[in-house]
Amino acid sequence: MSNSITPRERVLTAFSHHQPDRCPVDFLATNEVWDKLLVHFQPDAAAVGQSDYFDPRREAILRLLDVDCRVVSYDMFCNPPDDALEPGATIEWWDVLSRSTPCRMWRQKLPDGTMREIFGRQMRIVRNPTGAYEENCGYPLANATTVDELKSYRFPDPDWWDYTPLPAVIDHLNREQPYHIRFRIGSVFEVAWQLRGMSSFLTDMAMEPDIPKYIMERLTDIYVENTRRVLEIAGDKLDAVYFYDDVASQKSLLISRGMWGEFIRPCHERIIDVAKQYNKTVIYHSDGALRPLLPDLIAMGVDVLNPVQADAKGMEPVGLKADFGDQLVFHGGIDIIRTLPKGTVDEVRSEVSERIRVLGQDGGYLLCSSHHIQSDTPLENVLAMYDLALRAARAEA
Amino acid sequence: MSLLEEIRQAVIDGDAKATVKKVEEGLAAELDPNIILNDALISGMQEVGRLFEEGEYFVPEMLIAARAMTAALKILRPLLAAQGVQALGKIAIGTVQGDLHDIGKSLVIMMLEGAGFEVVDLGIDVPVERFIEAARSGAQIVAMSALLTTTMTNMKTVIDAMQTENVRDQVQVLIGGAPITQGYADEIGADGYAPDATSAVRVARQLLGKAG
Repeated sequence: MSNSITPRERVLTAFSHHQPDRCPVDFLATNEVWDKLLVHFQPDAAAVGQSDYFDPRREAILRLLDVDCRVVSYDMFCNPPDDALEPGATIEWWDVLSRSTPCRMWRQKLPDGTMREIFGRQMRIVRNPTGAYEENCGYPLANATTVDELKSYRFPDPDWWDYTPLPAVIDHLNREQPYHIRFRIGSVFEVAWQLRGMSSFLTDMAMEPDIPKYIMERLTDIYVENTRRVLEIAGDKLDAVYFYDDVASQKSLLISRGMWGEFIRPCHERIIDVAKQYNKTVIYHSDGALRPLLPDLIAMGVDVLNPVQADAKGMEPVGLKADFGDQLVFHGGIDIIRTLPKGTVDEVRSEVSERIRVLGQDGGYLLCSSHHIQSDTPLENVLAMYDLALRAARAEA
Repeated sequence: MSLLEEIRQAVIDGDAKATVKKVEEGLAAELDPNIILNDALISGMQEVGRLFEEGEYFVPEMLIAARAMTAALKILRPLLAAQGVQALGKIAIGTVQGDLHDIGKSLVIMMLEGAGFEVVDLGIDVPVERFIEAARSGAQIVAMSALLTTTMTNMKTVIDAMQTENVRDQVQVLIGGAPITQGYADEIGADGYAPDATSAVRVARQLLGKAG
């Protein structure tokens, strides 16, 4: 049954709002979860083949879990000039704790143990009882008071990326069978406030609008040019463009719809426009209670919404599917706050079945966790979520 | 509009310059600082909280309103101290160890200060011992925040350490953050749980036996 349709076709069928043979799935997890899976499966990396760009052991896990999607990301292909590095910095490709996929991610590590990613965001490692997370720890644009001061900041140049290896990386991933492959370009609002500091940035939006606008426009310039170059070189091999920006809390938007329309929407539209010029599906991620923006996002050309946090206000699956299911595909939905870390195996299975039943009606759904599966999640719950039998339930029902 | 109403409106509008200017005018006209505090600043922040709860205001509007209030408080504090006016209560607040996510905590601080509490911000990624120290140094409420399921368990670690260090009976413990529930608060023995910044004010008042 499952051999007659490829993962890519399965996703494309669901994205076109038709019922595939079974619900397609995606997978994002923290390092601790990846490590548990590696110990559990002892996967055969040799069958995947070595790569400089992704970890074949993790890729093998995705195959064992029958995951239909793959991600290639801008940060796999960074290659900034030496004079853009901090003194004494070393380049790390594989140690980023927020690395939720098999892919490598560029960043530099400084002698003081802190990290800088390509835009200059500063991170440090913070331990928690079951693992560790990387968190923002300093803001390079915190002290700027005018746009002129921002202009002296060294933003990356699109030439700091080299995408020539990308087509071969995709071919490698697809060697056995084609997957649904998206290009991940990043975030505008989030990177911008992480360069400035969140409180300052939100205050600026109300008091000094030129500052947040300048930062976001500069970032968007870089994203648009990067996306264009990627789609020029590998557009025929890519299915979708993915970008993210968290603009909501559990209960409401972080900023008013008016402010979102003034500051964020124009940047997102530019990214969507370049994706659409190459006829690519657009996948957008924002955590939280996003319902007030859904009509706008649909009008802008967003095709797929991630992550569907069912416990956020207005994001209950039944209502979402009823109100927007004919215009939006949903990606995500399995709760990482309660069900996956705290629930029983039966509760996980029941949530998976319920999401497929509701959101997966007539396609239009890709099952995934509502964020990276966290380090406190038991292995058996992860395995339960990816039980192939649950995905077919819809088609057999 | 009376001067008090103008100050209140300037806070609601998040206009720090106008707030300060009008507070100075009020003081020059011999308005009682405590009346300016209660009837203009705190009353203004209550309205800001209401607008936030009703979905008319968002984080930026709250941030600039709190900024206006803080600017006015700088002028009023020495005068209030000279009059012997006490804060509503003293609250120490921080995100638990391992957790650096502080926007929720910032909103809670703004609303607590806006309601007339004295707030000691312990910051982010706060070690257990600092919460204990805060309890020892006169905080009536110790408030803890966590965004991650992986860090919220440190709330229980802090409460257990308070027992061991014999300070648990001296303070009320208030917790909040996205993964927190009333059930979790009950389970770990916290005295109060607040799902958002405005209810944090309500719960803090209840914990200290102040009328809401």
